[in-house]
Amino acid sequence: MHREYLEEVRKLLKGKDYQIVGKNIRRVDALEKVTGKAKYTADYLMSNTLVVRPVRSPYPHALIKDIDKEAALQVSGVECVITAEDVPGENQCGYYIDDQPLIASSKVRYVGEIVALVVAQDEQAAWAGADAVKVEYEELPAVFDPKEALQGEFEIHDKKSPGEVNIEKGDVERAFKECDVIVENTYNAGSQDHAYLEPEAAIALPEERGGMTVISTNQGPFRTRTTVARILGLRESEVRIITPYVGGGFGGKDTYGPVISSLAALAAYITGRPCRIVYTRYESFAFRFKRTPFEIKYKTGATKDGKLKAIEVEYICDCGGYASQVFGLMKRAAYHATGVYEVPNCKILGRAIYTNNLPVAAFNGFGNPQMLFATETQMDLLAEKLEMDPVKFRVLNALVPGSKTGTGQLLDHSVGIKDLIIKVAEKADWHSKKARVSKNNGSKKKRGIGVGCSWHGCGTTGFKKDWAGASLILNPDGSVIYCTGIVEIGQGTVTSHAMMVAETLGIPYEWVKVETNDTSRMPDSGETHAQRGTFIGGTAAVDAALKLRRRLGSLASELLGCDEEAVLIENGIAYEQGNPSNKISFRELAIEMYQRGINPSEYGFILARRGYPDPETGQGEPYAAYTFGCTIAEVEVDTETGEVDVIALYPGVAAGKIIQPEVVRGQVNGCGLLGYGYGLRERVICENGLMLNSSFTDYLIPTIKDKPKLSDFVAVEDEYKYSGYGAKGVGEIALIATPLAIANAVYDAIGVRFYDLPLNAEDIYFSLNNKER
Amino acid sequence: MEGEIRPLPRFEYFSARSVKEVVSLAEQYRKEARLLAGGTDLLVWMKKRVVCPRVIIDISAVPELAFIEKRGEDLHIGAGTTLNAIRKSELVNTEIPLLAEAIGYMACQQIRNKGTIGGNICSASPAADTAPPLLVLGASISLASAKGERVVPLSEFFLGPGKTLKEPDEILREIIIPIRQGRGAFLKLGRRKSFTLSIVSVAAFGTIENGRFEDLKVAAGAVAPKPLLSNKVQEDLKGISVSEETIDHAAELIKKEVDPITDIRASASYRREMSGVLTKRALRKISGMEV
Repeated sequence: MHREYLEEVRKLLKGKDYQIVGKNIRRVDALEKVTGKAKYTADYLMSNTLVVRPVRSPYPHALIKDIDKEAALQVSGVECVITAEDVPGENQCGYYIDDQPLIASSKVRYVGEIVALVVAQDEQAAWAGADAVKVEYEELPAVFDPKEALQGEFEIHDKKSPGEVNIEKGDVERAFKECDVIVENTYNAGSQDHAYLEPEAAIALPEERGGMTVISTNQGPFRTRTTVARILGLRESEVRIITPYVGGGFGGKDTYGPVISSLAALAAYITGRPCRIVYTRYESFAFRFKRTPFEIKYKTGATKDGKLKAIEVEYICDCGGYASQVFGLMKRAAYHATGVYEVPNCKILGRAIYTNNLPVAAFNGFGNPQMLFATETQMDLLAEKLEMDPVKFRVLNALVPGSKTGTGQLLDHSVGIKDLIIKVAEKADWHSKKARVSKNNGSKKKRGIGVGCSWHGCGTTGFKKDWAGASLILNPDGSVIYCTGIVEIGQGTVTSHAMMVAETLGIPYEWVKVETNDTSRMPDSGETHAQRGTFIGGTAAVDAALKLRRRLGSLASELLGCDEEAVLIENGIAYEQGNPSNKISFRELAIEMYQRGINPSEYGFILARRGYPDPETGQGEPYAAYTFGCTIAEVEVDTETGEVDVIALYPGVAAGKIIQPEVVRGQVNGCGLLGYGYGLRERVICENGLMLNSSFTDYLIPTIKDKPKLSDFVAVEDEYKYSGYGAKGVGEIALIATPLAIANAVYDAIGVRFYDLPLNAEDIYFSLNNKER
Repeated sequence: MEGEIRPLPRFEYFSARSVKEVVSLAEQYRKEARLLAGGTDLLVWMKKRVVCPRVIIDISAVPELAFIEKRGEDLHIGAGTTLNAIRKSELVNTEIPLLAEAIGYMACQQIRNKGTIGGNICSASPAADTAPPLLVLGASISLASAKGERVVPLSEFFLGPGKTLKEPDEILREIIIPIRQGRGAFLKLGRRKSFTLSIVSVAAFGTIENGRFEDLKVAAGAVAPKPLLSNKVQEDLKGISVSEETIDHAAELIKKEVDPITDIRASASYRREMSGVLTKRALRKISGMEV
């Protein structure tokens, strides 16, 4: 049932080179964006929309005793105050499990949780109204450390953990006995804010027949639709989500898009008027869900010839007040815990724990940056013990076609990691740089080089199967309207889709118009996350294009009087192979389809080729394919201040066919800087559950001045049979590898190992200078 | 909630066109009014409700406040001069390059295009990056009111975080910087390479005669309730020969003199240590040693 799209496309092109795919063609959104004309959600604001302002809990954990709306309703301009009891449908917006109300009804579980909405005619009235809502709370003991939460008498929910994940493969106990070297450490990888340019926003427009249209910034229009429908008690057909350009997502809007959209929709439903909600930057920092902190105990063993034998991993995810997306990311971290290596014996146990911290969100890497920080530090420590070069040690253990993963999944093809490590090491001149032992003598600034390897399964982490749709309408003039359920969040995926459609149909890329994302045009296509936009969404586009192309081919063969097998369509012209003068323009073909009553439109739909691991043993096939990454970092550490300067990053990906190199470069470099931030700069500092550095002044993302030399990425094109043009996803892979490479490079420079992310100048300074703080 | 950003509160707004007009409004509204120059601090404070003035006196269109002039042995800079105008000024780069250098480390282009030197001084942040260089250069400032004008040394102007000698009816009119021969250095440690508040900043200025420090001044930012001008270094190092030991001694003096706090940007002990490191680097730089 799973079609080999790569082979189908190759057959169609009859061995000819691609005209469009693989080329640096201008992004569909380039001009609009660089000229500032591209429209984002808040650009659709109309003057008559009411303003929605949340009333938030100042307490991390408290019972709601009473909400008095009276004073707020007296404020001039306030239309209404909405509380949990006003929700017409189900007051529920949990991502995987139903533990999260949209509006808190009896209890609050984190600082900033929404207890009411004030709807007013303008911003001033909305703020004044929100201030005037009187909420009576009874404070409960709050807990911010998951280990404390586990041991103490805290009842955030009726259970301490929303869930666990377990993997058992081989015999770990016996394997460790056979190991010559074992390293065991505890790691902490912290939170991170998405810090996207566009804060949360939604505009809800009540439709005449009781339906609701929402324009919002989100990464999952269909999940958003499901949530809005549930909150309002409507059918999915009655809710329409329009997603214009999104100013950055990184996973944050996967989690929060349904929430922000539901808040606007609820207000619009109750007032019967258009309503808008736009978060301030402060709200976006202080109250929007973030990367999950992990504490990881990691034990690795190898034989003296350098072969990995076993890992034992136990970790805790602090999920905050609600489970949100912790289930998925905790599982993903477990499935990838071996790193890019073949490990015959694995025992992995992950557990999520409720605390009164801000709930967690999806964030680029989805648990893997945290987990692989531990894995890759362990790899360096083992290499050192074995007196092996870290690159050589990795190459020796890397997955190859025929390897089995920690979940027992056989990787029969598209496994380019071994080649990739070798090529990135060559590009970075690893061996000669590593050998330069005299580099640090005497100087106060010490240079170091480090490597980090990553992998990331393409497709959503399994609670449901993974599908997507796409549609094409061929117009009488030969131009094409393309719709996808995948969202353009800046990553460039729709450009790749349009290129694949154009290549498959044989028309110039400019003839393909990508329509604004609208749930009423497309079957459910899942979320735009998990490196699935091009991998799954793009394959649906190829599916639709192939179907249409077959009808075009058959029509052309009739008009050209040649065998259907001999028809080639290229750059808007259909012709007979070997006889190019026997031709017809694509435009003529298009109008002929209409004239003859041949359907000129087509839907594509695909289901990813993957299963669900067994809940007891974790064995199975969680992802259809894996993208691999390898980054080498060169750093310079100022031993007098502890500052780390990243001199250069050498990234590489084995992501199958590279559809558009410039788009991939954007992803790889962007991920490099995001990973640099996670490795060295970005800290979420909280006190009693409130983030203290909720501004760009104090939440430090890298600026252009911090940008290291970014070497052009190395690509190993390990094509995947079952996707359009053999592409795999590339959105997250380079982030994961970056902080690992930086951390290993810092160790190489100064000989001091850190087990917490992000690294920090102060820690480095005090440990280098043996000083007490 | 603390630190929350809200829409600007309502206020009465005056756009002044002359210093005379500004001082008359300042006299009329006194504590009810705040002066708006670049607004890079004030507007943020208002959105955070740190301050909520009933009256805003906009001085950004007062031509008399935006100038850079050499008068005799001094350089005069109008309080309303933007940071970027100073940074790019040929006069400043020739006569007091230390100030231009320090401003180069401040914020970003957009903020420097709006922010003014007067605003940076009057906000009286312990981390204000113009303060250490101005202190070591021996700057003074003139304060104008409807009653007249007074000139005070900058070293006396700062009283504590956000607190200065300036009376509610006074405005900072200009900064007066003596043009002197000597070598200067400015060093800033932030949490990233640019666009960041100082964890510590250090400025040094002095002359070296016959291998000895003469009239050496060192000032540090973000390590005390107000920008710190070290008297101790000036006294102890006067006439002392330039050496590693002397420089180490100066760094130790600074580390004793600072009184830093722990906040979300850095710990007090790290700030103290770094004030020493930056002092060393600054003195090595003006001594022509490798930093």
